[in-house]
Amino acid sequence: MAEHPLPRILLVDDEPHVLSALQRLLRRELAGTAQVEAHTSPRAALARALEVPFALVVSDYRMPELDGLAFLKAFSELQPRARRLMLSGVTDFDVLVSAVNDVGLQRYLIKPWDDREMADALAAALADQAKDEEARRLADERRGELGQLSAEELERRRLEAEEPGITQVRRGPDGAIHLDD
Amino acid sequence: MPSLPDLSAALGDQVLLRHLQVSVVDDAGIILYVNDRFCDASGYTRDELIGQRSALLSSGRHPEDFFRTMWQTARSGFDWRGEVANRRKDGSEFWIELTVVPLPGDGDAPYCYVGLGSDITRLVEAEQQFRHSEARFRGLTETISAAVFLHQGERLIYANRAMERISGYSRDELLGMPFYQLARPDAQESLRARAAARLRGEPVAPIYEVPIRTKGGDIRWLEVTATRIDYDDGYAALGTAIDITERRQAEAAQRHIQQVLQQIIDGDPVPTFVIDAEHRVTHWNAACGLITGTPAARLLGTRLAWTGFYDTERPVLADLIVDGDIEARIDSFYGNFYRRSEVIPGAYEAEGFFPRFGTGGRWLFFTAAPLHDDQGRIIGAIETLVDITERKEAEAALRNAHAELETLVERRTAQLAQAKQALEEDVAKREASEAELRRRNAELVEVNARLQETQEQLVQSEKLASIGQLAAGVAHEINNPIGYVQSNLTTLERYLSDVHAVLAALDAAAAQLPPEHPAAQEVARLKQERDFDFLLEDLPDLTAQSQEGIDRVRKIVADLKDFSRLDSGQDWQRADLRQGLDSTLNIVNNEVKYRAEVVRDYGALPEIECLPSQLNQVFLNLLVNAAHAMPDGERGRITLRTGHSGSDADERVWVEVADTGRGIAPEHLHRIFDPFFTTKPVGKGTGLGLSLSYGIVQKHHGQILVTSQPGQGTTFRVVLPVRQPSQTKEGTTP
Repeated sequence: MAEHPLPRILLVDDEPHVLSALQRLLRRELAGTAQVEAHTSPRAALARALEVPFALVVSDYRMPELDGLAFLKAFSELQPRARRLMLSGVTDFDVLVSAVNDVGLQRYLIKPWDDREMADALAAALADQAKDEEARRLADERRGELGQLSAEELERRRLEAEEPGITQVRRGPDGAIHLDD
Repeated sequence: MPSLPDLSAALGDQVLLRHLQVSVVDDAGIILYVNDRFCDASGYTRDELIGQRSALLSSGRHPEDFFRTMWQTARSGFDWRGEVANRRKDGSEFWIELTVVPLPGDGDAPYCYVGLGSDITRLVEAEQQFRHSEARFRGLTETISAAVFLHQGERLIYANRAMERISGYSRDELLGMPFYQLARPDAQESLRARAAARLRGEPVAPIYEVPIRTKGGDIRWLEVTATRIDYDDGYAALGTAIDITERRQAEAAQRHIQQVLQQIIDGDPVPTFVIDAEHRVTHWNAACGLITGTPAARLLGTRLAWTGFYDTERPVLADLIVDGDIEARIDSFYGNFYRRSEVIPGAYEAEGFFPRFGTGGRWLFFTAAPLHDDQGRIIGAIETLVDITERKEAEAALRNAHAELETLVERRTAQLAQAKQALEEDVAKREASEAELRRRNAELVEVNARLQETQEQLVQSEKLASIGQLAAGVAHEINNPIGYVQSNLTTLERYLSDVHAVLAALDAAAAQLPPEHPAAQEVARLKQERDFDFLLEDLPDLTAQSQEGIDRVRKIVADLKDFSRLDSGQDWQRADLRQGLDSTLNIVNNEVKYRAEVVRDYGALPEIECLPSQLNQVFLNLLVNAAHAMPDGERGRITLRTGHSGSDADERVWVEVADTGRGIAPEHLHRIFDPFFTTKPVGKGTGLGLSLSYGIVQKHHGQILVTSQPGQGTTFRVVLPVRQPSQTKEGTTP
């Protein structure tokens, strides 16, 4: 654990221009503090989520494959510790309620956004998440020292943190390992 | 036979003859002698007269017969006397009373004639005067209806036309007969004697009645008023008479009636008595005697009618009537047993029990009526009695039966009362339910009216909802490009400043090259060619303007969403109406900006509890109407004002939309909030805008007020409470 990789931010929006605009903004505002990934497809984003851990995920609401709520819900099952934000032009009361209640939304951002506000919100979320992660890491270390966690478990958690889902191998009835769903 | 001179001397010497006009004429009428008096009277001298014919003096007034008779009488040896009118020498007339005395001559024929005249001119004139006034008297008496007559004890010397009419005789016939012959034969002597006494001046009754027999033989009664008057050196009886035959007949009839009445009362089986004004009993018939046991003989002429009925003195009904104060006193004598007669004016009926009569007493029913004279004065009273004992007994029996019946009826009544009460309760219930029904109906009517209003609102809200949905969808789609364009523009600015920095470095580097260096020349050429200095200079404007443009788009979309507010579910919320006004203004700006300049004159405004999107619709309607109120081709002004007043529960805010448009005609002012009322051309307005607005303001417990001056403009003021009553919010939260 000598080197900490930069925290990852996942942006999901069916509108590529929105993604590139956001990427431009974040490249500028969060340079050196996070890596930004963007997907126009929520499914692709979920697949990616199986590969690498993300500190934050920012999703649009209205998307053709999967709406923002369903996507974030699925994502939260894969990476529960990632902070979830929504960026949408939709301001339906129902959407907001279920975003908060069902998805555990950290923040709801409204399109069109204010660049400054957006950057600050993401930076704050990142900092929050980093603090949590650090606390968690320290707690795990402490538990290892106290023998509350086996070396095996610690390794599993480390792996899981780096490669989400790697420890959750699903097997078919014939014993085959399912890597895709 | 004396000679003429002798005669003259004899005549002239006669002192007695001096006052007479003496003349002597011969048989041929030649004047032989006149005395002085004759000359004086005629105006002729003696010489002028002697030897002339006596006819010289004739006045011509007398007919020929007159003198012929005179001459015949005198020639026959008789004296002649008469009144003669002679003519004087001067032509005037004078009257003499002439006596012609024939003086016997030698033969049969008289020798001459002596005329002795006394002047009666004055008498004749008086007589003429009298005749004249008599003519007037006649004229007067002829016209009066009463008979007028004059006599001097025998013949009638005057009778007027009324006398002719009453007697049937003509005037000539009347003047030929003694007045008393007019009377009925048996009355003639007393009439004559009375007239004679009157003419003698003896006291005789001036008025008397006398029956006369008319020419036709009828008997008529005259009432004669006679008096003695001076007449022709004597007296005459002047009488007037009126025909009283009818009156006498009426009096006779009256007497007859009285007799008949007497007989009727006496023969009447109904006990009857009569008293006069002095309470004296004048009639007490046999039946009355029978029932009271008191005979008429004991009571007639006395004032003791009461003794027929009572032991102690008291008035009977007839007495009370005669006294004229029956109203005041009848109570004390008859208690409740009396009443006014329904058929006879002034009559009373009463009843009483008389233990004295019959066996065990009798009930008597009295009827007493006043008797009046022709002036209406009470001159007595008649009272009849009816024995009503049997009726009374029957009544008593009836009362007993009635009492039994009553107990029966009472029982039945009680049963009926119960039934009635039940019925009344029933009716009351039915009335209550009817009232309830009416109330429900009224409620229904009101609900129906509200439903209609709501329906209209609904239609409008439906429209609004679809606009809202559209807006929401569109907003989402637009917000994406707005989002990245805006963000990109920010990035672009950053980039540009980076580019500027790099360019500055490059410029510095390029400046190190010698000017003839191809690279340096290429840079300068390119810069020149591309107008690079301007480009750099223009870039900030370009990005700033793009920013501004995208910002405006962003605001429009935001307002569209704000306006519809579908996403907020039409919740009651606290809102600043100024924001609502502004966003509404943005929406309708297209409609408004070419027609009016909008002036915002906002005062401080607290947030109020409201349905913002609905209020926005109110503002929209007011703004659009204000814009439409501007005369075509003129740009007016719309002023938006806000303010607030009151505090705590009474705190209110107001929003005013004032335009300088055409104004609203007074006759339209009270109808503008009516649904479907519009003054806009067909197709331009639904007529729902203001009514919907009205409904919305009402829902907010507010008021919408309007003042308008045709030609000057209209001001709408919406007044809203800051806080809504609690049930309002609960009731409408979705």
